[in-house]
Amino acid sequence: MNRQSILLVEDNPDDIALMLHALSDNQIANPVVVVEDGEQALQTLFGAAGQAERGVPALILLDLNLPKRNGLEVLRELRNHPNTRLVPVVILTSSLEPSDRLNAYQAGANSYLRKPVDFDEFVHVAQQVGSYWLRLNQPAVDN
Amino acid sequence: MLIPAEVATRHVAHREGYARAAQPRPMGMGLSLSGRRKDGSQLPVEISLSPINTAEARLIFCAVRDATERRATERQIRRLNEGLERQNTELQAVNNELEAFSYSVSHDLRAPLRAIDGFSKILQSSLEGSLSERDSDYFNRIRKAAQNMSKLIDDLLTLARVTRADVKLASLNLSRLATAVADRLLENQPERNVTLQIAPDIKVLADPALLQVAMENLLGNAFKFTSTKEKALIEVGCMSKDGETVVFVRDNGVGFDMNYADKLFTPFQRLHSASEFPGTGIGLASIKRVMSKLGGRIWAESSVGEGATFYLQFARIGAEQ
Ligand SMILES: Nc1ncnc2c1ncn2[C@@H]1O[C@H](COP(=O)(O)OP(=O)(O)O)[C@@H](O)[C@H]1O
Ligand SMILES: [Mg+2]
Repeated sequence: MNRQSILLVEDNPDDIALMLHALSDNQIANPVVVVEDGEQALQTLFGAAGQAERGVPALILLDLNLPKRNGLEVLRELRNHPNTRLVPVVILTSSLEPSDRLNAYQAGANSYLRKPVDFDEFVHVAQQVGSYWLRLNQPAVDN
Repeated sequence: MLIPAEVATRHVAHREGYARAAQPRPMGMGLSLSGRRKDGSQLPVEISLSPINTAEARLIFCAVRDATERRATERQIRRLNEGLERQNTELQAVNNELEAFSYSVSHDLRAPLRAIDGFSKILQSSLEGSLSERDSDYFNRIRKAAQNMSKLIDDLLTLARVTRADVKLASLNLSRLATAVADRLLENQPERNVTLQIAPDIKVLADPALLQVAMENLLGNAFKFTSTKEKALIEVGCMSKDGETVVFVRDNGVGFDMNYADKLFTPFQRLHSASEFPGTGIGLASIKRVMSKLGGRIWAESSVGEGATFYLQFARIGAEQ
């Protein structure tokens, strides 16, 4: 993973395939690293205990409902760690539950999006996220 | 009335203690007192004491009441309360389970729909050119079905959320809310010619989240069922009925047959075909629940082709605790 990468944390293989398709439909060329549960996400970012630290991605797309460590736990750990404290994290989830939204923002999410069922909208969401967070937005630390 | 044998000695000391600082009071506060019948059996009693000072001596009046029935009633109330508490705990558990259930419904039922819609669209695009018109139509039907089911899930979740919502009543400006909801609907259908007449400053006693659900559904319906009209007119107004606030939402749309008027408020009941007016039939059922939670009610008037009017009666402002 390098500073241009997108880290996609998503456990549903269909959603992974759809997201990769939507990103490439939108000519978003950043390399995408996919991990399928919260524990892998943390390992990818911090390395296993004792190992050297890994690179920090340009953007993290984080599902909430994940095996092992859920999205909120991952987010809280990211925000506690100096290297990842400022990485843009966009929550991408099926849930619109008010409590999920509140908890995500309280844990330090930069944005909260619902994965639309309509694929045209899904592609649109991927395009907006890519152009906003990877091109328009100025990150806290230069990549 | 005799004193039970086991307290007789103590009673003498207590009696003397009382006589030293006599004042009117019930005897043995906090204790359950017993008396003894002539035959030796005991009964629960309540005793009140009042001293009376006369020239010759101090008399102490002592009223003794048989408390058998009262104790029995108290025991029964306690039993009922315990039963209610148990039921309450059970209901709370069921409620938590339902909450977990709707949560998982919202996540787990939507994911496969996204896959169905998404991969249909991807296939349709990559096969473009080699698909017949009929094939394309089938792809569109698959996608439409997935999207309808997604809407159905959303509507059911709203209905469930309304049902378990905590209600916080406050005086709210319905006019402002209706305007915001209608503006959003207009934005989504800019090609439509819709005239809105919303009376200003309608105040009702309601909960903000619940009122939002009601207005979104009512105005959504008004927009939907006027979509076949060249010029749609949607009116939100207010009148007084027996001193209560009644808000109405009126449209000049297709209307409905009054013979089915009470069916409308049952989940899944629709009076129009899905091909002409898509929908899930859950909206009015949700509003009905909203209104009963707000201590009000909803009813409708219409005739086919003549538009429809929905009435919402709210609890009186000032009726909140
Ligand atoms: N403004 C209206 N005009 C005519 N018919 C209406 C109107 N609002 C509701 N209805 C009828 O009541 C039915 C139930 O409404 P609702 O519960 O909101 O479901 P939906 O909008 O999903 O069809 C509708 O399908 C329609 O037949
Ligand atoms: Mg409706």
